Amino acid sequence: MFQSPDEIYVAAIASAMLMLLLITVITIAVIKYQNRYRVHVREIAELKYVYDQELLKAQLEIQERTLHLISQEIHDNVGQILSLAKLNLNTILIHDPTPEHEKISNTKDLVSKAIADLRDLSKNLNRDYITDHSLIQLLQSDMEILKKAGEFNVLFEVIGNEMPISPQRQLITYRIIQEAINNIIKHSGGDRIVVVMHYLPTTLEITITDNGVGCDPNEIMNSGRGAGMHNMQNRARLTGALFVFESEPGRGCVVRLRVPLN
Amino acid sequence: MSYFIYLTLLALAFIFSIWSKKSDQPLRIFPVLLLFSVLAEATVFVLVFVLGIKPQYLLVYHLYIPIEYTLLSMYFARTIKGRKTMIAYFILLGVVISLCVYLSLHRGFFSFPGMNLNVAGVVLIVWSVVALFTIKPVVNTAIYKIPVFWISIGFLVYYSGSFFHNFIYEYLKMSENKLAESLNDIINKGSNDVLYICLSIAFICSNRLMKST
Repeated sequence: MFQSPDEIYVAAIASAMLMLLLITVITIAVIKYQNRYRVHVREIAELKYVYDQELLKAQLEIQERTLHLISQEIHDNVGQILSLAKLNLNTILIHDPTPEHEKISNTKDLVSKAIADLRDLSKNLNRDYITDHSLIQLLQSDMEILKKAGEFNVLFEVIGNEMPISPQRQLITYRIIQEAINNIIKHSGGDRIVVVMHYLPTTLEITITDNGVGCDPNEIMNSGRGAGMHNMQNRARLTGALFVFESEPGRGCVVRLRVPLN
Repeated sequence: MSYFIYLTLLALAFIFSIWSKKSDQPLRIFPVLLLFSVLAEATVFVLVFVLGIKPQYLLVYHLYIPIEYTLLSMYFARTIKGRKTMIAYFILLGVVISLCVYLSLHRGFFSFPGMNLNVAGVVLIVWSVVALFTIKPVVNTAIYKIPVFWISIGFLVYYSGSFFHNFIYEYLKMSENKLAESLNDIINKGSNDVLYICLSIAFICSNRLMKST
């Protein structure tokens, strides 16, 4: 063995080739692992996304059922009792303009208002009512109620031709708008609400603006007070919609929602 | 000197294999495998250095190679998983053991089992490469933190490194004993050292992987 330098060279070259082969094999294995790892991480992220979506759907479904149940209770039970009370009050015959007559008359008015308010509330909570009407009809009705309340100067505008939207997407979009308007009523401190629905060929853009005190969106999200905001974001994500909240202290708030129509 | 380094690394790998928490089931084969290795080396040590019986000690390796192959291929088959892998494991086990027995009978139990080592080695190289290319990704874990990566590399280096040496060792020993021993020290013991270092790293990785999951 190794009788000449050539043989040593051959052995050295063979060893070098072997090492090169080993390094190549290891490098390819590492690259392949990296590729598999990336696919694996993507798959986990996708699974997590699907799981979150399912969880959110289940939560919203439970919420909707609860609201539906409350709506039915209001309509079938509380509403009926109040109607009966109003009927009883109507049967009381007092002709003289006595203080009792005035009280009963006021009570009748209050009961009538309570019945009307409960009917509106029942409608708002009722899933079937929401899906049976168009988004424009629903928002028009809500804006009317807000106008009647007299606290806000309300402007509702629709741009473009109304296009169909799936019932589930409409329900969720409506709930987001309800949440946004509720936030304005509770926190804005302003007196003007502008809702604009803009129908584009493939999307529906909704903008809800107020002239209130505004806020710092980052602070709201980080302070733990942004539960409503998270709700709106989660609901938007579920329908594949884009949700944007813009605000600055002293300059009101703008909620933008871009909902895919198909 | 190199022999004692080799024995120390073997003992360390054996201790690590017992001490480590096994991040996966197949790794539990290693304490058994390394126990066989330690027993084989201890027997060789007693035969050569205490009793002074020189050629007969090679019988230990003739017996050890099939055991080592069986346990190692079992490890790789259980790591790679799958029905086809298990079928391949049983077929190759039969082929390799039969060849080893045939070679031992044919060439004698007191001869250097270079061919036996190469037969088992070639198949184990294939197992190592397949295992290396089918490592299952673990989230937030780089490939070099996964035990099977080091185990595969260790056996890949050992069997491919000692392949040519196994062929020529016996013939070289007859003509140039000194060169044969010096080559054995450099190639065989060197690649063995790499193997046991890789195994020790694998067991440490297994421990860390177990803690992190």
